[in-house]
Amino acid sequence: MSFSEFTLDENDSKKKSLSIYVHIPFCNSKCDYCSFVSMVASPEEKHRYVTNLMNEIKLQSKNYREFYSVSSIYIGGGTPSCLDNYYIRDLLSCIYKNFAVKNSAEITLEINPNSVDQTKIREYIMSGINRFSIGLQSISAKVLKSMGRTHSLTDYKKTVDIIREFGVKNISTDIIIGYPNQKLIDVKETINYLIKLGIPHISAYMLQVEKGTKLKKLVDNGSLGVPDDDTVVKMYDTVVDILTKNGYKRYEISNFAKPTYESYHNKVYWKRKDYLGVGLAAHSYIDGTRFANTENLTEYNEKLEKSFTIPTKYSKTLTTEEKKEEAVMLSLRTCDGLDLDAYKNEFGENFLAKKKDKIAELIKNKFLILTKENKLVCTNSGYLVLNKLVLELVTN
Amino acid sequence: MEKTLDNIRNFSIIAHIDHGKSTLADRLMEVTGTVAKRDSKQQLLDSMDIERERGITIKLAPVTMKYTKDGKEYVLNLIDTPGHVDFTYEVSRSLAACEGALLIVDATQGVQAQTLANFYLAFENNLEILPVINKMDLPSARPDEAKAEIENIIGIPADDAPCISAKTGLNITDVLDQIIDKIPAPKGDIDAPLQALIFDSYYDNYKGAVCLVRIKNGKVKTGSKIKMIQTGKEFEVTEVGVFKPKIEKSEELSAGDVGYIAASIKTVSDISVGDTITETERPAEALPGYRKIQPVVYSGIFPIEGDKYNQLKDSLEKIKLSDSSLVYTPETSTALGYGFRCGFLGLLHLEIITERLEKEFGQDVITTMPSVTYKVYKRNNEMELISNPSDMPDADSISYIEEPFIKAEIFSPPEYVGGIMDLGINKRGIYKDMQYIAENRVKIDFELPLCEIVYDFFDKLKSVTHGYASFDYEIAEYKKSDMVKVDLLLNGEPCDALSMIVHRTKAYERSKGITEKLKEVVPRQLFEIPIQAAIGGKIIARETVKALRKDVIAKCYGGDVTRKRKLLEKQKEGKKKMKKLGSVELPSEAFLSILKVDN
Repeated sequence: MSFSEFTLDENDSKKKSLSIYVHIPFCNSKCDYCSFVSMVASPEEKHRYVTNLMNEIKLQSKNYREFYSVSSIYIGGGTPSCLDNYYIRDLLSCIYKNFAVKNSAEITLEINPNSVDQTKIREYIMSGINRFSIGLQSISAKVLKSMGRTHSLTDYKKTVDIIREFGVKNISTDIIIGYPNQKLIDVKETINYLIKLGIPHISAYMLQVEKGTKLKKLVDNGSLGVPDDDTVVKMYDTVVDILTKNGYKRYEISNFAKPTYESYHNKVYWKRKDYLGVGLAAHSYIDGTRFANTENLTEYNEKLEKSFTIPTKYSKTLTTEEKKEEAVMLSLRTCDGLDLDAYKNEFGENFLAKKKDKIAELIKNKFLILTKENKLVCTNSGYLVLNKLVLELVTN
Repeated sequence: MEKTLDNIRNFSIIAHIDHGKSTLADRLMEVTGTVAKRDSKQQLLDSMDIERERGITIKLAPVTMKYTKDGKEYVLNLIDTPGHVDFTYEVSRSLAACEGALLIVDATQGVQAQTLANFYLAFENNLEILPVINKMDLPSARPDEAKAEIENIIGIPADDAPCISAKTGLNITDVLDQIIDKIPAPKGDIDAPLQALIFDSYYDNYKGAVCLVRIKNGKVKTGSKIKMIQTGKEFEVTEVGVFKPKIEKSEELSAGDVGYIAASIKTVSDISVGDTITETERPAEALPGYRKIQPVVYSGIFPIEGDKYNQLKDSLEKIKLSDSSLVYTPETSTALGYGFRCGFLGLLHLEIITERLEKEFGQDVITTMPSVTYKVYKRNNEMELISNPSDMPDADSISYIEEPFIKAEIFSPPEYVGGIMDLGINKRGIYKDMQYIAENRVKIDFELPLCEIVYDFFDKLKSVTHGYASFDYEIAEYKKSDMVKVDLLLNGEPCDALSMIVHRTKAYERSKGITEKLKEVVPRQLFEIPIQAAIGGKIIARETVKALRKDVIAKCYGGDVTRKRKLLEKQKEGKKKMKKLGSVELPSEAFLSILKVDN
């Protein structure tokens, strides 16, 4: 199987761009800090889910294939790589069959270092995967253990080597900042290791102790203590500092990339472009409407099996006010910031004039800068308090 | 002619918290057939949330029961009493409506703090006190020790005290028999001019404001023309009746009875607790003990959202219907906009009102620093009454200030005298006298500045005496005092809603406490916020709220922007509940928390 089997229509170049997110809600084990829709499942449950997922893709294609061509696909989870490899192949070929996928499309698969081997990676790449996102989190065995992660640094290194053996260079790696017992030195070593290994894309997230997680219990009962705000800030500043010095660009609040390695798919979310999410709890944004599927696996399966309908649970067409807020909230996450001219074109109002005093205050205090291209962009200290900045900018 | 009304007994129940007061009341109602067993949940007391949460009772709901002993039918009236110093006067009027009180003591715990404090109050009102030993169903019950404690600590005989279990119903009839045998029957003259003591009032949507009364002399029925002696207001009675415990209309109420009088009275403000109701045609003397209820502490109440002013006004009007002790007038604050200056009986009363505003009326409000009323004498020989710190004239124009003092009577076991003395002195009190009333009971007289007791005096007293002391006070006179106005500055800007008047010797300590407290409750913002306290231009205390360093940079799984939206909406809601003072956002709790600063 190869791309040549799927020829694009002549009209495809005129079609709008669509990105597709595919959610795989399964993991081999649940990490202590995870509050997302993921679970440990039997082979039968996985098979049933993937079957329904493909049915959903077919249903959705009827709505969109005529008007859209696909620029990126992202298969995330959960841990997609915990599925047997032919499921990924089947899913992708289902998308190719039902949508017009551009040749240049960025196709990412999230993997965990210990859920893959040479055979799997080869299969993935043959199925069209051209970018891998690996959840490393830390190189410290101690930190990994305390997170409930089951892989080792050796697993990670081996995974990277295999991917590269097959010629794929576009590798991203996730790390977590601010985990209990984590020290600044661990963060430094992790970052330096990744730089040395030549990983061209790094996502750095701060730990969020979420309700209902095992971690929350451990923190609440005092058996684990999270580093204080100042320490976490220092860790994050260190990450930004080291990466910037080594030729990475912070192109989004939590994403760093070497030139040409910025993730197209990632930017779609923040630039408010259209994306279709398929699978359990997957979110979409198309033509100004945000919608999402049910988070209940049984309901998801039954909707597709019994009534052959898309299991949408939530749908909201944004009002102009909400679009304005999202424009601020999402664009400030990126290094391109809020384009004030584009804002004016879209909404017919001058944001700068409307929020003059507040923006002036935030610029004065070095949370924002106004570029000569008339864009508002976060500084590094602005990124750290982005939620609060957005709140200030969208309220009186 | 006055005669003994032999078939009536009027009594209250006093007890330490959890010693089984309401359970016993329920059981008495059951045994007398006033209520069926299956209905016997929560019928005794009105149930405002705040009462349950604090374990104190504020509103009094009486109940009339019938009981037959030796072939004779008796009417037993139980009048419940609240238990907080803010309401001491109301308690004293309720007790004045009784001839006796049941003193409940837990057989497993013996005499406890509140038992004693409440006993003092009842004793002061000359009530016959019947000890009752409760919780005999528990294996750890030690009735003999409990009785010995009653005799030794309280100093009343307890040999015959019924040993009961309110929970199982054991020996409840003994209690009823003793009420009849030992509590004196009321005396009164049915044919004399009407004298009815008002011990409480409530508001009913259909009947209007209703008086809860104990008839001392004479009688009253529908159509009677009545007059309130103190307020001079006249009404025609539309209905009388008793509480069983639900209201039940009756023909008439006569000497010795406890019940209600409705007379198309518009608001409870027309009814004064302690006032005497008499006949218009044939007026009698007023009963003794009336005191006009006056607010002792004032505070501003402001809506968090400025446009809710009218809603707040409506809510206060509605509360006023059922709470005559609340007074309010419109007020404007630079920091907080339009609101009301409200007068309260004490800080608990203030908290009750703000909680009612929030829970019953859904109003988000903030309250400013409470203050008593000062007399400010100016150099031009004018005198101003100041109860709002922001109205304080310039220091330069003031000649001197007088502050209100109270006369306090504190009853306590002798072993706590040292602690009470220290507390009194610490609160700038003037020690007057100490008397041994009984071997185990001391009465201490203090003169204390009112502003010192409105905050936490009662709590402190309870803590130094482990709860064994009781405390009553009356407003005495104004005395010259070295009072100063302390301003609070947030981010360098004075906030009028947080300024306060304090004694110079307390200014530093209190400012320090408040700035520290504010530092805890003011959420971190994008900028560092200095919190300062100043007298005139001189800073006397300072704390700093550090700037917010970070939110969480979290993964956005699969483009789930709705999560971010939800967070933003939540933050917007939170922001709505904040009051913006200059560039600083303060949560409403910040204002309340200041009240709790250790004085």
